[in-house]
Amino acid sequence: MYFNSVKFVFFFVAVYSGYLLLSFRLQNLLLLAASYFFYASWNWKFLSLILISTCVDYVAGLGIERVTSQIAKRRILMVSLVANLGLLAVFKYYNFFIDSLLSLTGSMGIELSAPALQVILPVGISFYTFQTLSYTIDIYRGELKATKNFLDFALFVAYFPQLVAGPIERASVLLPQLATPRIIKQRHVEVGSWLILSGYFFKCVLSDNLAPFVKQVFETPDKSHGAEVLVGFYAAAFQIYGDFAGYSRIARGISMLMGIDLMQNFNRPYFAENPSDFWRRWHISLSTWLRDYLYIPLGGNRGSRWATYRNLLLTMLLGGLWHGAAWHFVAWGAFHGIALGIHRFLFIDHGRHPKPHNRQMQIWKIVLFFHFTCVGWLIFFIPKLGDLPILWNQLVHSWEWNGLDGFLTIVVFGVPVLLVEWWAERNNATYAVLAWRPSLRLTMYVITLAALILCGSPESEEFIYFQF
Amino acid sequence: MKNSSIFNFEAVPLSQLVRHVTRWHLAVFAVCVATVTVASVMKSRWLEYYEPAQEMHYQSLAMQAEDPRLFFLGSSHFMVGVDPRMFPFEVVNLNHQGLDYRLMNLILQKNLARWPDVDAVIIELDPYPLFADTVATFGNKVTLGRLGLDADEYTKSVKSWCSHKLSGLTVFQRPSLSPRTMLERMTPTAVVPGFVSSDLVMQQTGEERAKFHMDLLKNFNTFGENHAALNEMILTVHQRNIPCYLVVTPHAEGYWDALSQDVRERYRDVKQDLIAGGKVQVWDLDQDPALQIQTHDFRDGDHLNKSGAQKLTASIIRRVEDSGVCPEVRTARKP
Repeated sequence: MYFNSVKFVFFFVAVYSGYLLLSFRLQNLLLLAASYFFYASWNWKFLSLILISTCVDYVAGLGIERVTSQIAKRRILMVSLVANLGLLAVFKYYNFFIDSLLSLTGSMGIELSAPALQVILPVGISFYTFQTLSYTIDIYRGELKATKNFLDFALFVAYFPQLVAGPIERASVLLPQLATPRIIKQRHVEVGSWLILSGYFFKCVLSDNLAPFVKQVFETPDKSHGAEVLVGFYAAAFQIYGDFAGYSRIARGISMLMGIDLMQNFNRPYFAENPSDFWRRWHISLSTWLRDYLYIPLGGNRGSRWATYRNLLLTMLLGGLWHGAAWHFVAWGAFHGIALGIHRFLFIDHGRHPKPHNRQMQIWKIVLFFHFTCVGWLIFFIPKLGDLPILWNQLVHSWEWNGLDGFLTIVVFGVPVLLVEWWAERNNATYAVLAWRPSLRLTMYVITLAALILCGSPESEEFIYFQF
Repeated sequence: MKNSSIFNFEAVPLSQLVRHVTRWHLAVFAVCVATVTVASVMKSRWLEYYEPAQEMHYQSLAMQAEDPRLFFLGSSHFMVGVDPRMFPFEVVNLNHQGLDYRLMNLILQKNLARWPDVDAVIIELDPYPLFADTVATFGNKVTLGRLGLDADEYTKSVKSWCSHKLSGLTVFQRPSLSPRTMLERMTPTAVVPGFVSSDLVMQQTGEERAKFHMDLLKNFNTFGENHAALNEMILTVHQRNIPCYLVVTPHAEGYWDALSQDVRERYRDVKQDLIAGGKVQVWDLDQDPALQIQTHDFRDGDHLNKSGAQKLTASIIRRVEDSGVCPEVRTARKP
């Protein structure tokens, strides 16, 4: 059941109607039942994985809090980590590691064999695993109190708006909201409605209309001409942004309608000026998770300069691998890890700070770094890294002017999004449109609604991040 | 009821609401409703688009003055698999995406009289038309007129209407104002009546297509009516002393296994009954090794692309010649 399906609209209207009529405790029960139904609509068998994670971490949380010995706390935490990461390793990475190992030993002349696991990837496993891990780790660190209410905790793990593609919420933020009665304020309805509307625009108009161009270039690189490759280069950046930011907006919007605030996952990422800035704006819930639970425990920037570079690279490598069990995701992580290292080396460790408030320089940096990000998306989208030289060859040697439709799609749907975000960036507004005067807001509502109905892509695409 | 959250909305009694705030919310609501209404009407009235080659009404008009020797009738499998241009004589290929046998029967009854001299009628044999409900899938408006049928020629059941309206089953031809679709429409392309070729390769696997079909077919209970319509078609053709052949087009690996057991078994029974009855020849080209169909010949799990269509059509031509159906046109009447 995708957010962009008629089924989901019926589902949400039914859930929301019940939600408004029920008392707070029954609301939670309804949300939990709805969340399990939502997940079971993909594959009911994998509900058992969520239930295992929920039970293990609920008991682990209580256990860590109850025992006094640090060693016992650590042992319980290890059980939680092994259980959660074990499920992730088996269902997401087993085949990848076995295949990689076999091809490595094969290249050394050693023929080994191992059984492949015939299992599909459970939707959203990476998201809810990271979410539940943060719960037990926070309790272990003494930053969070374990909840005694199993229902609240189960809802925290399975809360349907963010279950399959985030944002990866922290227990310290979401659990208190689930454990206390919600009051739906006028702001919730206004902001939530706009987030849903704009989220659907991002997904159905921006992302889905660009998907065919990206698919053509990256699935058949040898059949794409130079102009198509160039269009695909930019289209990929807008497609993945529209897709993932669209999902996050819809998730936050429907949650906000229920009076529950989810964290902002994107903050105008294509206005980033450098890698460090980019990761403060892109998939914020993952980047902050990696910072808090991986980078800092590895030592962060507390050690030597080289230890910091190593920590950055390791964090981003694992961040890349989190996206999928394939080498091009690892390479994408390495690409950003190296970029973060170089940026740190040049501008932090050697103190080469540019002059502040230089608008022209800022624009150049944004444009330059946007292109750098696009190169990263090339690595992210390409199924085989060996196809990169083919794309380059097509770009340089096989030029034909036949990418007009893709170029126009970016101009018509992508550029207006950037313009609105540019306004928000300059005025430091979280929601640009909601800060405008009424007549402009109304015009924007009309344009967005009309575009959604008239320009929505004929082919409905899956959300890209569901596969992670 | 005090705990009920519907009363937990920020308590602002209507009487205390500032007048302009009330107006603002009413204005937003009214404008949104008006926008949705106007845009929806625009979309359904003015943006609807249909490729001429896929429109049977166009196909039959294009064929009106001709004198076809073979009359092909089928669903999308014939639309993308049988290229009329390859035959050394005139053929007519009437087809439509998602066509069920009830509608095929109506089309046959209506059009067979127009071409009394056809040497044979070749009908597609496939599980999809045997279980499908075309009108419920695509909607009355999209379907009948474009099939060259009048609205009163097909009495749609209330169930069909409801299935379409409530489940939103329309699965294709959604109009859009995106640059891609607008440019596509503005780009003139040569239209071959009754045939749509494609260079795409395996956009969906056999398993994915079968799952998609099963997802659609679970809404319908039309097997009995479609089966009766298929038998009536064969009878109608025989009553005119015209040979009738049924052709099974190729399906990619995984398609048959992903169909439900019930659909597979009922389809197999129908096929075996037809073969055992002896009134009609079934040309099963699905797993025919002579056809040499490979993965790259499929547009998706159950549709052929350009190269696949060439192989299938060539095979049908050979079989037509071998069966002696059109002896006087063995030498090309029309290159």
